[in-house]
Amino acid sequence: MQVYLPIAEVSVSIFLLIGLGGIVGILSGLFGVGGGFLMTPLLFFIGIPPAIAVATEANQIVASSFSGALAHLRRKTVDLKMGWILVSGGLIGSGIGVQIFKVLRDLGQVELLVTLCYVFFLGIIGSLMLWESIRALIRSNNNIRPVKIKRHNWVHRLPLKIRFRTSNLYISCIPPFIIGALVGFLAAIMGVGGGFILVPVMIYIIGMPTKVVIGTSLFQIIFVTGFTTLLHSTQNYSVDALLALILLIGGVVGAQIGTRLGVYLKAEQLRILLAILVLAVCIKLGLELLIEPTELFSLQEITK
Amino acid sequence: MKKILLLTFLVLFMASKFIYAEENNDALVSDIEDKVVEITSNFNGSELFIFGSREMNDNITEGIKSGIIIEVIATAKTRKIRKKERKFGIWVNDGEKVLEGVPDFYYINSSENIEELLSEDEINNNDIGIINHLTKNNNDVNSDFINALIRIKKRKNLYQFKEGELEFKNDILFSTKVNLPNNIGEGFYVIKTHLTDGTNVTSVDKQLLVVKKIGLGNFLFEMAHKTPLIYGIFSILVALFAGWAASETFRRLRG
Repeated sequence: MQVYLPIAEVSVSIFLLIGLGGIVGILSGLFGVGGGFLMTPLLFFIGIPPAIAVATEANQIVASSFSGALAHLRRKTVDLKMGWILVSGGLIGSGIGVQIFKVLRDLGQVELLVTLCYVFFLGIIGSLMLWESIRALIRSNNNIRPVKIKRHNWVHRLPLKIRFRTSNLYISCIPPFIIGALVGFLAAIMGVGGGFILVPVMIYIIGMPTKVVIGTSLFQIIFVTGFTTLLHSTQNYSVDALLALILLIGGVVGAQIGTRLGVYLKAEQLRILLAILVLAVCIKLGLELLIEPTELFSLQEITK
Repeated sequence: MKKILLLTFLVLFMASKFIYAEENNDALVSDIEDKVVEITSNFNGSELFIFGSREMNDNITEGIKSGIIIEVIATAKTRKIRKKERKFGIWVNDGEKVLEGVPDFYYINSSENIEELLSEDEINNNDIGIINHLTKNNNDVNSDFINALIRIKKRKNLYQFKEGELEFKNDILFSTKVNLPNNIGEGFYVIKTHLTDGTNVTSVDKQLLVVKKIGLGNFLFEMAHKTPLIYGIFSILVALFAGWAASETFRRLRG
């Protein structure tokens, strides 16, 4: 059964879309990743114009992060003060990102920017994930304890210090603001929540306790992707609400299945598969830039 | 069933033609089955049935071909076409042209090859064929770009070339089916039927087809373009509601 997507202006099989949403949902439930960084390139591969894929994915992440954040808010595992600082940075980053996106779209270079960003970030994440999971396998076999994280580093010497009661921290608000802005920028140009950057930075650089990290990052992602959705719809008219809704249906069900599967499966070993998948998407996007395309010309509707 | 329907159409059509014969002196009459194509959320293409009749002209000398050319041309729009070049080892867009008067959809069908039905001057004067049409509107644009546009559109089945494929039921009646793919755009589609005497166009008949979006898809499209701020807020609210509903549902399921 085909569904005509009103903003993307293409007909796609509804089962394909629900299936994609479901698979990415299962992966995100299984590994605790947002899934935006996999869904957006998959949307390119099935023929959704990149500008539409990015903006629509931001819209979908509003739903998945809200759903996740609700559970954390109930358990009070959200550092709201830290969250708001991350949000304020995120809004600025997103604003800058959407403006750059708009300018490059008019110049016909937005696809290039999005693809380059994906090749770069997927390459880094995939390699790190693969490296980490191989090390974890070796570690579990040899029973070596992980290295303890240092809680005092250069971050603690910066000015404008604020006390964060929930995180039990007294640090400068500059690093969270900057990392919030970077994630907001990536949300605008890549259609990702940015949890894959936010979470490690919060743990390793800011030094937040692990139990509040996921909830706080989800809290920030709701506002930032919401704002990004709003900006993309007013600046680029590129949010396809119907596409977002269909992906959502597969996504939320998949995430629940994934969470339960995680109980039975050894996620550490499966993480290698996720790493390989991420690297495969990275390589496919990279090759598209390197190999001479069969059609050198492309047609664009003028959106004014 | 479909065949019977088509036959009935033809018969009724011919009957109306004879009834109004005195008022209508045209040697050519054409019509289409449906005047409107609606793009719904589950739109998966449509078929346009074009039919008509030509009057056999006694004055035409033996051996000269009288023929029919049918064109379907969608509303002309402005489009941008870009060309990729290799820069720093990767393929990037470099160089673009704005093309005017580009129809989203184009179809041509004829009883013989166009060159056999019309002289070259007459083809140009009557603007027949998509290349003529595009070249006239963009005479400063390199033909590479125009050819690329046609190639891309043809691959998407949005430009269809069926020259020489039109068949007659007898010497008078003709009909054809145009396959409108699921990626056609909104607009007014002009169906132009030309009667030729081997050199010149002797008669032209035009019909109009309206292609429009309806239903949920149209509602969203209109809102996204006319009130983007409200659409943005609406998209966020839908997502928030879906997120909340998912969280509640699975919380209940877990007990």
